[in-house]
Amino acid sequence: MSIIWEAYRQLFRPKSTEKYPFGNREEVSLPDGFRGKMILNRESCIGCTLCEKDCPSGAIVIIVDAKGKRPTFFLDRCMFCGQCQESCPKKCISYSKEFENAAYDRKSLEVR
Amino acid sequence: MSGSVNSGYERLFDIPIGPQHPALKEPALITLKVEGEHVVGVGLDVSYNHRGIEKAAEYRTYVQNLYLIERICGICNVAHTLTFTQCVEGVQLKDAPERAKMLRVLVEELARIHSHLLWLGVAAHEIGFDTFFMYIWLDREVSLDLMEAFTGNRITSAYNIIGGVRRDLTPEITAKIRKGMDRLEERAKFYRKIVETEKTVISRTQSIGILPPEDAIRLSAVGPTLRASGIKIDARADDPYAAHASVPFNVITCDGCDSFSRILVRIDEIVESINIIRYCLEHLPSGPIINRLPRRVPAGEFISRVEAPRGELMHYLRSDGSDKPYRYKVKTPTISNLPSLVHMLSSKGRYVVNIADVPVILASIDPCFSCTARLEKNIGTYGKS
Repeated sequence: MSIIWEAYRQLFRPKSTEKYPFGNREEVSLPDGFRGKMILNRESCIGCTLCEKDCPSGAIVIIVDAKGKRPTFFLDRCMFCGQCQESCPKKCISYSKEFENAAYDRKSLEVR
Repeated sequence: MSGSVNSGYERLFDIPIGPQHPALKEPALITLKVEGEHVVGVGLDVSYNHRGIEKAAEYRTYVQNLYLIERICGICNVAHTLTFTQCVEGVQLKDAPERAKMLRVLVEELARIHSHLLWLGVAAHEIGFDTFFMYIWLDREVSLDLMEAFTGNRITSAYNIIGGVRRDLTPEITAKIRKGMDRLEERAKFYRKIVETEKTVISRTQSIGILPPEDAIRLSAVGPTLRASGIKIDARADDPYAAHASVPFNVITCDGCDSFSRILVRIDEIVESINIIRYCLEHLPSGPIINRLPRRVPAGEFISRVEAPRGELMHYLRSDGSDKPYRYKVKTPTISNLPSLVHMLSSKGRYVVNIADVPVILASIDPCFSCTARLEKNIGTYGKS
């Protein structure tokens, strides 16, 4: 019978459901170590291509530009495992808390 | 054709459950041979979700394989990566640092709590007790939030890496985990009280799906299914890996041998995991969290076993000196529990199984068919061969 009392008590408690995406966006709390869309610090990158070699889903492609070899991240293939951040010898890959990565255009899913 | 039917007239019907069925969370075909309401023969086909992971592992480097192996099972992902990293470290004859070993135990037990709470909710749902299901899954969020705060993701945590662990424990996370454990302990004890007193749970699970201890050993059951038959076998206690040798804990058993005792064993294991996590937080040794290992693994072979939430998990690695495995083999706990499941689903003598009990018995072993799909073979007393 105790589950009935539990259900009754729940009537007077605040609702557990977070109103996403129609409620207050600031209420959606993400912890500090969350792995969202990555950020590449192009200045400190040395073009060692280790991130491309270690990426398990082939989401990183090395493109040669004026500065040399630099990785391009394709978010549509990325599974946010964090191995590129782990492999980077200069620690120039970091993760933001940006998790709303749905897009109509594949071009907008590239991080350079 | 079943051999256990002693009826004077032939009134046997086939009831196929699956491959797609509302009672199943994953594709599996269960062919029941029924006589009236009683199940007299069972055929199991679990090979609908073969993903070729073992072969795919041979084409990827060890670093990439870590994330492939993690995705064998979403819920036991920590156990799978732990077994994989232990295999790679074992072939290299190296070990992770002491602090990393303790942190591995901590995250493993955190994953066990959320796996058992998930199962408890699914079991309540199969019984038809959806109020209970909703409250359990609300409390499961506590453990998932802790996983997210500590490892960076709710389910696929990517926490264990070859040679150690990825993140260190900060004082804020420690305080969060302590607070979460207090809440979970209170709730787990409350759930145990409900399960023991609630008529709905008792009448749907007591004396249903009986697996006597001698049959459990003969059919090589593992995990909570085995321990609910009163047998004290646990890979954490019998073959301590990571830091389990230094962490004291009780192997939970129950003598009921039925679905009801499987619920009790799992709830008690949640409480035991909470105690292990508290011990780990208090006795965490200082030092490095990773021991960097070379990418190329010398030729050799290694078998590692880990007590996953569903039972004993075994991985086999054979390396040939390159940076990719020569052969990788995975044995998930569900495959060991399938013969026991067939045994529990078949009526014998005075033990009868009604059709309505089938989902409860099926859920009681905590099946994970997608992790198991490595064979093209029909198991059971009846079915296509």
